[in-house]
Amino acid sequence: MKLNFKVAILLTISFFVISSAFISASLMALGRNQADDLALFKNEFVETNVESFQNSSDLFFSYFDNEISAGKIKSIDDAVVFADKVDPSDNNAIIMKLASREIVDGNGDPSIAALLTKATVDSFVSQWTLDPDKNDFAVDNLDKFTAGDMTVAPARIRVKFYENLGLIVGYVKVFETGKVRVDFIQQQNAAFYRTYLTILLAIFLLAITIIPLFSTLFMKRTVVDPIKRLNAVTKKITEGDLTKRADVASHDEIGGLSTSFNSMTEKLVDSNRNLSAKVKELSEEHGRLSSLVESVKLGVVMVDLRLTVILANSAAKTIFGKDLPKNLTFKDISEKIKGSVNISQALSYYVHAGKPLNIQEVMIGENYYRLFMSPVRDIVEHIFIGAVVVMEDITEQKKLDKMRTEIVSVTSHQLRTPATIVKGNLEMVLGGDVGKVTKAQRELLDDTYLGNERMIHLINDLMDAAKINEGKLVFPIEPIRLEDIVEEVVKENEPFAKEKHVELDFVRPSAPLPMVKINSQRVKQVFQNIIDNAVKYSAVGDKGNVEVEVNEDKGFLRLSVKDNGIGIPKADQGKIFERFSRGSNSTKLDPGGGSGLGLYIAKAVVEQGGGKIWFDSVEGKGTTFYTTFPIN
Amino acid sequence: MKKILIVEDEEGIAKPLAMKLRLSGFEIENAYDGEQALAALGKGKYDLILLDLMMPKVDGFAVLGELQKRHDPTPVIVATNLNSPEDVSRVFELGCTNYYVKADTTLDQIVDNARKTIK
Repeated sequence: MKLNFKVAILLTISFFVISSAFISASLMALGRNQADDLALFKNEFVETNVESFQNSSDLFFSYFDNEISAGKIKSIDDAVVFADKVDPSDNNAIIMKLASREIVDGNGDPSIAALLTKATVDSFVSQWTLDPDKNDFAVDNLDKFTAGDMTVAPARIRVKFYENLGLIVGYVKVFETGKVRVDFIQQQNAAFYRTYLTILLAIFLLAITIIPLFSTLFMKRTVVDPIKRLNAVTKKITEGDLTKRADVASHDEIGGLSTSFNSMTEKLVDSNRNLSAKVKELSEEHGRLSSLVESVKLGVVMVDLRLTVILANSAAKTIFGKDLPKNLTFKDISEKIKGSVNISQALSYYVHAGKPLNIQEVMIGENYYRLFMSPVRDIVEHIFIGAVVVMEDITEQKKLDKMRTEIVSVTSHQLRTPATIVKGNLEMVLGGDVGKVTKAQRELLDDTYLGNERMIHLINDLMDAAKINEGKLVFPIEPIRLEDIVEEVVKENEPFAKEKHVELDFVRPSAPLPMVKINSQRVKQVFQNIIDNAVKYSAVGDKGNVEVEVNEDKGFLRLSVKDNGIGIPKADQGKIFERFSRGSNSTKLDPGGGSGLGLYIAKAVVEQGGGKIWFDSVEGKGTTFYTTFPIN
Repeated sequence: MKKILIVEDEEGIAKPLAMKLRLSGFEIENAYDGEQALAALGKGKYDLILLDLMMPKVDGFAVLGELQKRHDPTPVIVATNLNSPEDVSRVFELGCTNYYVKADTTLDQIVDNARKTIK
């Protein structure tokens, strides 16, 4: 049964009980009113004597008879109207009125005329219902009394009158003096009402006691208890015991709720299971990622846009000291970082710009690191949310590099001494200072001398490269006329060009060019290298040609050396300025080979002077090298 | 005859140099380390010193420093295979007159240089 139906029933019952009580109260009030009416009678029924009572009755009934004979009274109502008309205050009339009604009601005889003709005092009296038990007179006196002997009249005669709803009981008292008094009492009436009302009150009281009790019990049983049980189950489930289920005890809303609750719990169990699987999967994934990040030997730090460190692996912690506090920003960390740039400023800029950053070398504590910063995007929203900074310890690398550079430097230096000995001694012999040298001897010794010179050249290049690597290639500068140096180098290279059948042209500008601040020795070395290369690699076919020019161009002096030689293969062009790099097609023309350091050194020298070096080249057609020097 | 002191620990370098300078008309004395050089300089007088830098016992820098201390006005040409800018500026601060890198310089160039310096 639905809950609202139950409640409806409860309400209906309450309504009925309360209505009954209300109706009873109304009736009681009504009954009291009637009693009050009768009380009026009592007041009016003053003492009278039997004779006058009889006489007035006779008179009354004679009138009455006449009226009936005249056909004016056809119903009891007519009779009452008549009686009132004759004498509304006449006791007899009123008694008769009541008596006649009793007669009518009692017999159920509709013939009023028949009844009323008999309506004498005797008959009137005889019509009274004498109650032998409750009346005082003896049974044999009753006959006398009914025969009209008033001397045996009992002190009181109980008379029953019926009026409307109630049983109205009256006593007619006949005194020995011959007077009669009628007392209407309501005892029975009152008793009736009292009983009736008491029962009703009892029902009412019972109702108002029982209904809440019943309602409470009913509500407890049908609503509260199931909800309590449901609540207990809910608690258990909340505490994690997903095996609990709610009882479905009824088919009302609570029952429905319990059913829904149970299916919800089933769903919860299901989704919990799915969730657990997902969580397991995720934690495995997380575990793998963590161990990946942890096992990497590189320091890995993840920062948000404010550069707050949100993740740091153990390598990173080792780099910055184990006491990496929470909510640390990279700004704090970067105070420990010594480098050529302000790390946190650079990082902040690049993180917000979403650009990667690569810092070749910084120093943290005693060690050197290379820093890579990659911006990190949110997987879902694709906005930049921070960055990953990877720190690679390059201390060992740097140590090795330094060691290598030192070895090269020291070895080169050591190699210079024997080369110098060979050089000095050969010069003495070749100069003829220690005796005559035959033609064959000279030929061999010349080659030996050139070989030694090339060795010295290689050693010098190696030492320069080592210095560049150490950042120690520094040299004094002074204002110089560039065209002078170019002319000098061209002149020095003319014999070599002639030997290689290459035409080497340099036309000195007619007007002097602005001076440039450079180191003449070093720049000479650069030009020597470029022009020597141009001549060497143009020495193919019959028309080798090298054109050297110096121009002023937008605040710079520019030297260009154009040849029509073998060119540089495209594949080699990108690394031509790297250490030990040589064009793959150059070895045939230059079997002895250079050090592969010439252009590396040239680039360092030119760039240190604030200039640039580059080339245009087509393999098989020729190369043009350009170098620029800023005009002060 | 002008007198030159060659301070050079490598005999292989010192020998042809001495020969060439003698043939060119100079009187030559050799010192094979800084100590010998300072001893020779304490005894005799020279018109020029050709000074190596890297030497056992007392090196070229120390010899230059000592000469400065003694207010010895003898011109010094530093002949070395060290050629870092620091070394070059240091020897000039210590009062050397000229400087050359041995491996890059011919004997003829050295003779020329010596003649120019003594004049």
